[in-house]
Amino acid sequence: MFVIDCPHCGPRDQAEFAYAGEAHIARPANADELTDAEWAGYVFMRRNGKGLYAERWWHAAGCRKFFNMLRNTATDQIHAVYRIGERPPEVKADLPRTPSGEASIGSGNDAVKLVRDTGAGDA
Amino acid sequence: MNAPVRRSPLAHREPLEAADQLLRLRERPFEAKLILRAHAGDAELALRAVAGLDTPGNCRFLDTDGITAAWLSPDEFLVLGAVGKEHELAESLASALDWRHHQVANVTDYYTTLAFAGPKAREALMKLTTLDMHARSFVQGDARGTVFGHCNAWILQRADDETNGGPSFDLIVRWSHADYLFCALAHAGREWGMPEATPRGGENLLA
Ligand SMILES: [Zn+2]
Repeated sequence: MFVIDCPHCGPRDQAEFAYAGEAHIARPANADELTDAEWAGYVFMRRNGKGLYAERWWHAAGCRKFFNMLRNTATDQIHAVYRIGERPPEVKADLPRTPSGEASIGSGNDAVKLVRDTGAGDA
Repeated sequence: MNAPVRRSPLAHREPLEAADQLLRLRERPFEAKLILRAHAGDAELALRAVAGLDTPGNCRFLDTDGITAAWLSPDEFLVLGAVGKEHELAESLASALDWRHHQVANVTDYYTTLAFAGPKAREALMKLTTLDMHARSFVQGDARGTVFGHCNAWILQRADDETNGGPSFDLIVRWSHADYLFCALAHAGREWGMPEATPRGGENLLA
């Protein structure tokens, strides 16, 4: 569980929020010209990366407004919260060493961290 | 044909009290409830014209002469009034806003109000919600939407903690969740001698 700083209500528990997918995906203006595959790409395909991710969240139980968040999906560290329509701010993030490395903080895989502490699993 | 009867969602519940009045729980049915949606500046005009109220700040409420205005979101306010006042209130809000882009929805029968008070009310609420209910963080004049047990509600702190008889809170809850929340609050107050109450629908209460 983590605390999210709603831009309107201030810090609240995650239980009040709903996740609403990747942010900054613009609806195609020429929807009638798209092939089914292109339309499916807009509707379904998401980057779903490990590390810094711009996502939309909805304060479902509070102000019921959508907003954007920059979150490290490997550690759950929240780097920035900003309003709909704003550009994501520049942030410095401790990104995971992929494919097998884990970030040094947060909810990563503990087994991998132990290996990394001995230096054996360092990429 | 039967005469039309207005029945509150908790008509089957009696007010509950814990030992030594440590907790008091009852429904206040039928109070006027309106949702006002408008740009904050326009809402301010309407609230001042109708009730002489300023717009409440984020997560706050203001009240005067039996009319309460609570901030729900940047363009949404909950306006509360006495029983039977909803139409008069709605009309005066709408006429104050006139041609401005707005919506006034009468939600009097969509929600009901639970009054929950007493020296242990804060501690009982803490069992049901992740909202920070500490006296340092939630004070008289605060209004927040959050989750209590399994249901959503708006919570307003009416009387402050120094009041004789303890702080008092109003919970504005959807009609269909009212019985669950009533029983969940009674259940949370069990350790201070609140009588047990079980939802008619048999919903599970959080321990
Ligand atoms: Zn919010």
